[in-house]
Amino acid sequence: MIQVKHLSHQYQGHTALNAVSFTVAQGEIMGLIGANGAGKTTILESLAGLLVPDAGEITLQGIDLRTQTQAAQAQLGYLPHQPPLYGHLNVLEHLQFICRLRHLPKATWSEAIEKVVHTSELASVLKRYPHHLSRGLCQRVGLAMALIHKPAILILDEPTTGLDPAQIYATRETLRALKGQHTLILSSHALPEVEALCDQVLMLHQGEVLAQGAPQDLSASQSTRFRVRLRQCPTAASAASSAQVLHTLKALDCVQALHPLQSSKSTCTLRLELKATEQATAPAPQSQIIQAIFQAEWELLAWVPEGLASLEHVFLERMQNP
Amino acid sequence: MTPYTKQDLQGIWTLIRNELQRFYGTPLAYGLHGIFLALSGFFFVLTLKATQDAGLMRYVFSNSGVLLLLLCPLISMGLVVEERTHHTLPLLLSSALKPGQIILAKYLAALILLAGLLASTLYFPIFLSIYGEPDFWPLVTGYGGLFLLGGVFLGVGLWTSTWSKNSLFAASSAFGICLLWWLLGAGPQYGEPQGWWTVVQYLSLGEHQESFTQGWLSLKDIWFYLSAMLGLTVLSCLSFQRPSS
Repeated sequence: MIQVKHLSHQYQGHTALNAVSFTVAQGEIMGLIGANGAGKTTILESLAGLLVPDAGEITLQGIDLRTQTQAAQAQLGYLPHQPPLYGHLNVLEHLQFICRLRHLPKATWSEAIEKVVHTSELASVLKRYPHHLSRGLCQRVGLAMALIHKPAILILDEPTTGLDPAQIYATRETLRALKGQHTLILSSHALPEVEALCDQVLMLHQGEVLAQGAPQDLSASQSTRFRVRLRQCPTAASAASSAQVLHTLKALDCVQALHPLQSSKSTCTLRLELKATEQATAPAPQSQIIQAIFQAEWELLAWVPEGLASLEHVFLERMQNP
Repeated sequence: MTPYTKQDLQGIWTLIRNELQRFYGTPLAYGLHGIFLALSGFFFVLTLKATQDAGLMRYVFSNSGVLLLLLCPLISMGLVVEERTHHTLPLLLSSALKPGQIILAKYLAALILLAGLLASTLYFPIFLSIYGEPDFWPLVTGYGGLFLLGGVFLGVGLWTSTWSKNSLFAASSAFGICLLWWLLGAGPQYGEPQGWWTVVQYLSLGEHQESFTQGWLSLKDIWFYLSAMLGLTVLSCLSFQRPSS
């Protein structure tokens, strides 16, 4: 489990992170997304203990990173943006080096190495040196090095950048297989990847959290089309008719279009399309609509988003109107 | 500062092994060994031809000191810089190692290399003992003095390596600092040094070699070199702390 509270950091006067807080539950995958310079790498480096943030608290598996750095770092495996490979060691020697560095008992080395070699599909390149490996293979060696000591937490900085589509697919499948076994936090510019893989997304903009939640929730929040079901208040003395309610809603500034699907004297189902620009200030449009319904002495029974926006769409919308 | 546990010491040993593997995995190591052996052998033969008195090895040690001044910055230049340029530093810093462990391991690996470099010239005294009867003690202290002198040069190199952007800059900065430190207090002298000049001369690296080459075991000089090595290690640790800005 990862807990981050009010993390702030500045680089020579430039704010890289401003009071960022989030929690990643055990076995969950969180994706960090944002433009270059949004603060993704700063968060990951702070979590890995490479950077001492100016303020804030980080606990990894309940261990405070600032006061018990070594104990907290023992819980994590970190794959930086550039796989950390030594030119003088071949793949097998890299794995043995990490076994030594992570103090694994020698009797367990072969089992641990065998497992990560299988997970990362490295069996055919064990004797190869980094300069004879493709970018994708280097990335897989880096992942194997991060995994070998069975860390509770995995931190991956843009694990699919620079990979070809087949390698991206292979990396995604590997990460999917790790889901549940490790708490995983990764940064990526490949938003469909994040959407497909992550339980939670943290959207960053200029060091601040722009949005946070499950990808489908973020998509829903960005949706502009809703199926709405209304009912006349049973206790209302002078409730408006369904036609009057529809007319009132249609007249609202935030409503782009309104299509009644089913209508009776006391109930009404309709498809509502909000103006995209208004959506950026959500939940204000919803408030306006609910208020109008309430004033007409009707009540809202259901509000279901239709045609979810992709994470990419959500990201672009939020970036344009932070 | 908490004392190192057995696991910490194992971590240091792992890094020393890796550092030695890294160094001997490049042609630079063999080049430096070759240059040191060739030049020190050349000076040895030259000195042997010029003089065959009991103080022969004094000159050899003195020349070897100059060689170390040139070669030690080349040994130390990549110690930390290369971890940074090859993007392997995050691996070490996120592997539950204290920054002090990394610095100590790097320094000890460099000292082992230095010891290897000096050991490769042991054929000089062996050669002398075959053809003569050299004093044993000045040879021991001479080698000890060279090791301490080289240790200080490597300490300077380690420190410059922690803040330099590339190996070349680390090596040239280390060479410049070592040369200045070596020559500190040198210059025209009229009579006995006085006042602050005495202090400056005391701080000179060259000033403390005399006793070793003459076969004296001066605790004052040993202490001087050991304090310098310790100070440089601490300085390197401070410069290598996890960045906060």
